[in-house]
Amino acid sequence: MRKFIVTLVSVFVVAGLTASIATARHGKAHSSAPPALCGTLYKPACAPPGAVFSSIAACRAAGAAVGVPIRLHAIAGLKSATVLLKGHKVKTFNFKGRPQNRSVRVAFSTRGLRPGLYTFTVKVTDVRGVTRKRIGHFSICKPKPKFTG
Amino acid sequence: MIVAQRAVPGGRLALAACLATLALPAGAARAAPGPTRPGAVYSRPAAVLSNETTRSTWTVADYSSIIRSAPTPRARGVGRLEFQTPDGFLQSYLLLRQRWTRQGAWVLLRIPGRPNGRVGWVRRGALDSFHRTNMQIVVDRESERLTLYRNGRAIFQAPVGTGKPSTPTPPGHFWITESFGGFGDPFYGPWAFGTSDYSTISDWPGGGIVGIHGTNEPQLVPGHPSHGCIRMHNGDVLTLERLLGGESAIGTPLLVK
Repeated sequence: MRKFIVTLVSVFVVAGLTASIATARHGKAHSSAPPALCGTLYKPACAPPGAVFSSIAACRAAGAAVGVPIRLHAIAGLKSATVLLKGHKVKTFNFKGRPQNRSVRVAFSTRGLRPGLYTFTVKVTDVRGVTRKRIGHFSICKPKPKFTG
Repeated sequence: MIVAQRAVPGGRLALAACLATLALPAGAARAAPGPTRPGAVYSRPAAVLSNETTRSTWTVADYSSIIRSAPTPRARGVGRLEFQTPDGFLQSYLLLRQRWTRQGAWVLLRIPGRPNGRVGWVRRGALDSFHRTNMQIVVDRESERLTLYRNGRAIFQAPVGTGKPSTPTPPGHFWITESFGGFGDPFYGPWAFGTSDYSTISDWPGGGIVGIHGTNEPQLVPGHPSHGCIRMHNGDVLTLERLLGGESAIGTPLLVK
């Protein structure tokens, strides 16, 4: 009987220790990735992140910088945003503190670009890891009218 | 439902309510035309994006897409969204209305190019962010005058030269698609605006775009000296450029009457 009680107590002790270690690990994992600001019973439903900006309708001469203001938003909190031109990274923004809105500005160097249409991509990622991308355009040309006169 | 409950008293009430519930969807489908078909338009009213006088909306294309005759994917194609004008600007589109269907939002827009005056529907997702303007340019070919309106009030007037009788400036609703200066050609003066209006001369380089520009022959303005373009005195075209905000002139509606 005594042996049985000792065994039972030791089993309980071992189980308790294992559970406490697991809980500590679990808590540590949570603290490293901040929880999203949405998607629970008491917080608003999560929506995918987004970027708001406009293509540049006027054409630019090669060599002039093309500046694009971009507004980023994510209900869960912004993690990062990447701007690409012709598939190459132009700028990456990493955000701390899970901001829900940020305004940034990207300037594209057009030195050496040939006249034509250029497409840039903005990829925005929130703290849940959800990524959305949007494209915009600008044009490089030598402005010379060809009107009927 | 309420009418059925009042009409049938006592124990038959529940049975009548059930029958009415079963009968309602079929009746509603017969009464409301369209919405059961995929691609049909919801009863939600269309939003007016431009009245082309005091409030106008424009944008450029994000993705290439077919412009259709109706807001459904099965409708006949009437054109395709273009990315650039013949002069290298991003091609802008004047937006008239927005409508919501089961497939999402559709936008009715004016299509630049020949024949003038075409309109068509395109998916909202193919378009960039919307821009708004409260300006309007009106060119009266009879009185040979251009008037600039802001919020429906005339803020600037100037004499203009329009097309000859053999090559008249085509009338209709258009918009500014290009705005540029510093090109160093005295024939077009110090500043020029390209429009979505296409002249009767089709073999002109660039397709025969009607422009609003300065001139090196100011003695011909006002009058009918051009191949379709709207010529102004150089001082007047610079004033127009200042009032429209240079490159911000893109998207300004133009009425030629």
